[in-house]
Amino acid sequence: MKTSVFKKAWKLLGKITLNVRLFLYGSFELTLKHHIEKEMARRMDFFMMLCFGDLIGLPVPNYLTFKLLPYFLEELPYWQRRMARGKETIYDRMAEFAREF
Amino acid sequence: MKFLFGGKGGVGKTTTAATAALYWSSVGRTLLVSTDPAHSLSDIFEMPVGGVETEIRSNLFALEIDPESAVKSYKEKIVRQFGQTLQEFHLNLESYLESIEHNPGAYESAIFDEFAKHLLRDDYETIVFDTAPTGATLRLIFMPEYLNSWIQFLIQSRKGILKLRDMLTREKDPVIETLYQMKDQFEKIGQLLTSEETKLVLVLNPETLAFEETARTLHLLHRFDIPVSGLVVNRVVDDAFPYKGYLASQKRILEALQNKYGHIPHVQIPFMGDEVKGLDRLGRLLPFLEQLFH
Repeated sequence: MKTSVFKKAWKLLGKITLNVRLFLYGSFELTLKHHIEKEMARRMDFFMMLCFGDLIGLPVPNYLTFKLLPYFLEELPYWQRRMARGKETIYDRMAEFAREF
Repeated sequence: MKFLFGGKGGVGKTTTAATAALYWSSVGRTLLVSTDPAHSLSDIFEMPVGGVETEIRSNLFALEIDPESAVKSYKEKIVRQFGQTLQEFHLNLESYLESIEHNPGAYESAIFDEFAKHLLRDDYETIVFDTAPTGATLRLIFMPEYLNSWIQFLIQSRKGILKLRDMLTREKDPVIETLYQMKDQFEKIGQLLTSEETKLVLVLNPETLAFEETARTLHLLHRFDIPVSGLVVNRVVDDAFPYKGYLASQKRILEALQNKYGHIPHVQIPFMGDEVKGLDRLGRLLPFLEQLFH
């Protein structure tokens, strides 16, 4: 009798901790990770532009950064496509404006 | 020991550098490197000198840096590194690879790369560099600093990424390691260029244009705390010279040189009356140049 109560309580505690952990993960880590990845991708795009601007028509001193090219081969085609994509700056501005309210 | 000979175009840098190399070859193994894309070592030694070390005589080797082939070999080296993956990703890198070669500054960078490679060698006791006219020489000296600031910018940008990346993984980043390697290399060269080991010698003629340019160069070098270890006044004529006006201006310039830059050791090489080329005739300049090295 006594043991089963303990068992039940233990199980309940396990469920609670799991749910709390999931809640914390969902509310903090998941969104944080998403934000970190997004920000990292943005900075990575900028870094690649500094290194391989020639690929999208920006004249940058590429003699030294050519050494880094092997590390970016995987990302390069996607980056090129991202850079080539048209961007509507007016909508960006509007979105920023809407966020204010 | 490393020597760098610089000065205005046509004052006799190559001749002086060749004579200096000849002098040091009697002391130990000497390499004479021309960094000027318009090479003239072949002409002065009257034998073909190319991109590989050529033995001129015992202990004396010469070499002309060829930027075109330097760029090509650099490109091939990197392409070989990812030769396999290049096919895998179906990337159209042809135009990019082409732009490496034709980008403004590519040849300059290649010359600097080669120059740095030879500067860091230790299989020769003395290395003498015959550089391109003043502007290019100064550029060569300040190049490590220019490149370093660019690399520093890249490192900072990369660090911004790593700050975020470290929150997600703990893997090492090969990119920043490569950048740090480059930075270390440039710092090493920069230090070597301004150290006692490297001696910068400026060559000039006793003429106003050459003198003024040398004065400007000295001023600039002084501002950046780069010591000049010698001045060579080439083609000094004696009193038997028929044109008195030239003699007077020469006298004025030599005096100005003595007054303004007397603290820098300098030697005078007289006008030889004929063209100085070939080992024998270069040997005649030796006694005048020797004083600089004592």
